[in-house]
Amino acid sequence: MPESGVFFGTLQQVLRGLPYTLLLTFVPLAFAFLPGLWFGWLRAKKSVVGSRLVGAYVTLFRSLPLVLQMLFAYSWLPSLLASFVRARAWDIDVFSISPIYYALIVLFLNTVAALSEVFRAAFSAVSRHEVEAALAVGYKKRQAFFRVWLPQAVTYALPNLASATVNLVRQSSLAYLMTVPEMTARARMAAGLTFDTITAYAALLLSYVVLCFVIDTIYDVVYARVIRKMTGTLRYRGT
Amino acid sequence: MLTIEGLTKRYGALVVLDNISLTIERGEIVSVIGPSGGGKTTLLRMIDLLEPADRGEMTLGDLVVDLKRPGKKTTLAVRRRIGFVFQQFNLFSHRTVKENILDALIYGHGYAKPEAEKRAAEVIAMVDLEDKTDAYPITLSGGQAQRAAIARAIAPSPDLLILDEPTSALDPELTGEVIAVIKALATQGMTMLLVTHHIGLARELADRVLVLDAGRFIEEGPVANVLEHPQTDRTRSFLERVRNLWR
Repeated sequence: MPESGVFFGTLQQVLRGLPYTLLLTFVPLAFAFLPGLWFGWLRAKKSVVGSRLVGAYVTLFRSLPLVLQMLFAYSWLPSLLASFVRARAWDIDVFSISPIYYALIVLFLNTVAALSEVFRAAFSAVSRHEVEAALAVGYKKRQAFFRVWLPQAVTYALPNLASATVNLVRQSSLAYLMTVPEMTARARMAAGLTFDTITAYAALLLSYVVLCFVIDTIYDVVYARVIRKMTGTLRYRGT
Repeated sequence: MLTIEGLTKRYGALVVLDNISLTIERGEIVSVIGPSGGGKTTLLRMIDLLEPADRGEMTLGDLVVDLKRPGKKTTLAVRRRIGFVFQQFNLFSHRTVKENILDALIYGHGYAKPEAEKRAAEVIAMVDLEDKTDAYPITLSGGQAQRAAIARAIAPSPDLLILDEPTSALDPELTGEVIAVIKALATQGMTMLLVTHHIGLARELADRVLVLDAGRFIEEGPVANVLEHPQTDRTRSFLERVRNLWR
């Protein structure tokens, strides 16, 4: 058993990475929300071009290992950007740009793909007959979308949105490859100093479990509330 | 008040509606009966412009409508003059009974909130759902849901009420309460186009019956004539098969 003093010291080190982990989770999530919603809608309504393009995008990002994307972005994006800047003779030092931006871009692109699947399912879950009924009572198409289709879809999306968020927390750990000092990177640093790898990873594990539990619980509470309001009864059962 | 001429609709090679013509006078109740797959629901959907036809023209009051390309403005105008009651109710499941009606009036018909509230209370009383005003659709019985849907459809005082098999999705013991509401509307002089398998309802309410089979009206006339003295074998055999629904 590791000493508790070492454990808590390490845990403290790991938690210094928490702001970065949260940043790497919620910034991509926030930016990906609207594109994901839009892509999901294109897929659900089976718009011919939109659906195919989005489908190809989703397939691409689902089939590429995130590690590969991270390594690729970290090694290739800066040099690409550098040649771009050089060609225009701009006075910017590309290699001083914090790697966190590259990590954010990779996570953003993946989250757009993930959320477009989440919202595709959610939009498909809403009864098309209700949307049609809205048209029949004189709604314009736009009104039917914003007043009937969208509010129900967002509600149905919440449980899968929770999964997507937790996934993103876990995916953000790969940003350590880009030397972003998030929790995993901090744990590895701590392990390097103490030579107590097991303790460092135990502290890291605990941090992720608690963080994901908190996020899940928040989503659960919100979902239960929305469902209760929507149906007038508490039909929600926790997973 | 409503005339349709030359309405044709195909799904691929299947001709669902074959050069249909139809006239409905103000205050008249017209019932369309016929076997499943005969085109009844498609006909109603074409009239409310929920789907484009391949060909056909419609006049509704002073509106002249190309059923193939109605145009946005005309589409909206037509739908605002027609109330549509669906077989499966199709209430907005995230809104209460009252909100369903308010939404239809406010967003669908541009009512101001106070007028909408007043009208909603009226129609809720009319369909006898005062105790379910704030209930969500999921908590309603089929009969209550259909009455709420009827209230939503009639709230804006439509020129024409279309009912697509309004009792077909209901348990037999719940059809009575919906039929009572429809009868009450009939006595108030509502113009109705009623598609139903419930021959008894058609016989009791309708001024005129049309039999739609394979996309054509094969029989048409006053209720007594069509139902008691059918002229074609197809009508006879159809009526025979649904005889248990006569009452």
